[in-house]
Amino acid sequence: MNFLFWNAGNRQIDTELAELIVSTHANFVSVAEYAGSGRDLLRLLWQRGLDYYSIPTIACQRIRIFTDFTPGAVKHKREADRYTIKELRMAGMRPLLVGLVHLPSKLHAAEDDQAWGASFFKQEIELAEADAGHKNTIIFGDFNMNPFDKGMVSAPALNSLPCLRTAKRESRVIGGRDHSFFYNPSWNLLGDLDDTPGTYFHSSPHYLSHYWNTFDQVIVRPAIADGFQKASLKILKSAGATSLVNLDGKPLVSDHLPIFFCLDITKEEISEESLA
Amino acid sequence: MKNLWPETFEENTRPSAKNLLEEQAKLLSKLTDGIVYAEVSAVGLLDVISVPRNEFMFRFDIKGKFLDDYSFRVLLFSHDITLYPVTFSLDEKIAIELGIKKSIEGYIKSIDAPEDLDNFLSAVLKSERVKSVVGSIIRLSK
Repeated sequence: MNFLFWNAGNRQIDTELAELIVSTHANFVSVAEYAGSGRDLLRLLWQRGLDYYSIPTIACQRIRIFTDFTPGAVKHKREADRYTIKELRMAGMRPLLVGLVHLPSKLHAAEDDQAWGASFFKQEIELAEADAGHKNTIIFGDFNMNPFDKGMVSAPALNSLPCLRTAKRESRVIGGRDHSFFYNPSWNLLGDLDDTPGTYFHSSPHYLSHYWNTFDQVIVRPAIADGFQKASLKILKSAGATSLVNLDGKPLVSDHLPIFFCLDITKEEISEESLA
Repeated sequence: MKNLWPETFEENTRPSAKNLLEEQAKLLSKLTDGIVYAEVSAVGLLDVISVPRNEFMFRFDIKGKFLDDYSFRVLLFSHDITLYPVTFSLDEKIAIELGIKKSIEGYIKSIDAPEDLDNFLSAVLKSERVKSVVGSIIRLSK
């Protein structure tokens, strides 16, 4: 299953988004700060022979979802203004909880505030997992935090680690309390080995400035992490013939660059032999 | 032995935010023919990194009878053992509608006395944001 996320920065991006969906074959697309109604996008996709749906919003209007799954496969779960949790249930697939986020910006929230918000969001995820009866959970979107920030790494917050082997321990106990892990493959997006040092560029006047930030991330529960195709995780710099970056490599169409990844959640066939 | 305690103790009869919201939760269900309901539930303080220095914390969620496990968090509230002041942490859009400015801890409103609680909660529950959410739940439930 292919996933795409883009913070569109309140710009008109339907043409570029349609190109991205066509070129990546994304099945589940999440867009934050989307300025369109969705109709133009669906029309553009239809003209390219793709039948996509817009999932209705209830309370989280800052995140839009477009998918080629029928809307009945997408169940509404917990949400607030800055996150929404859905469950995908399809034949032949393991049920999947999908958390979509657009968490508060560093411009308006201190790092501790972001960590506090992340810990509340983690509780919501755990409640949704308890409701659903499984921990097949993936969370992606604009966290407005780097993978190394407190809210991403602290145990009571998202507790997401760069090492799958360690995350597979499922949880760690601190002070008698159990804190569940996520695996965060987005650590692999840091640095300029592929000439794309992040998803968002910001030149800050403060002494500490990373310039490039990887705010747009995906984290995944150990239960389904083996299905996460690490090599598929990419920051996208073009949509068809349109470049999404300028000559300096900085975001051009929106102030964020999109991310793409694949997750295999195919249900394993149980052979008669293994049942014998 | 000397009695250092007061002569009598009086029960705190001030209406609590929890009771008030529980009443409103029941009303919502009646007003929407049971399609939409609300719940007040306790939040475990140990589960969060830091919280306002209050001892009792609750959340108020709106849910849909026919939307399995759907839940929208309207607000969190907390207070100490004396019930007041009550500190509310609001949904961003409700807060903006009510003209509450963002602080470092989020969209926070502190209510010092019971007489102010009704007005504040009425403004929250009558907000366009709450109306829109309830309306969307009704639409998606049909």
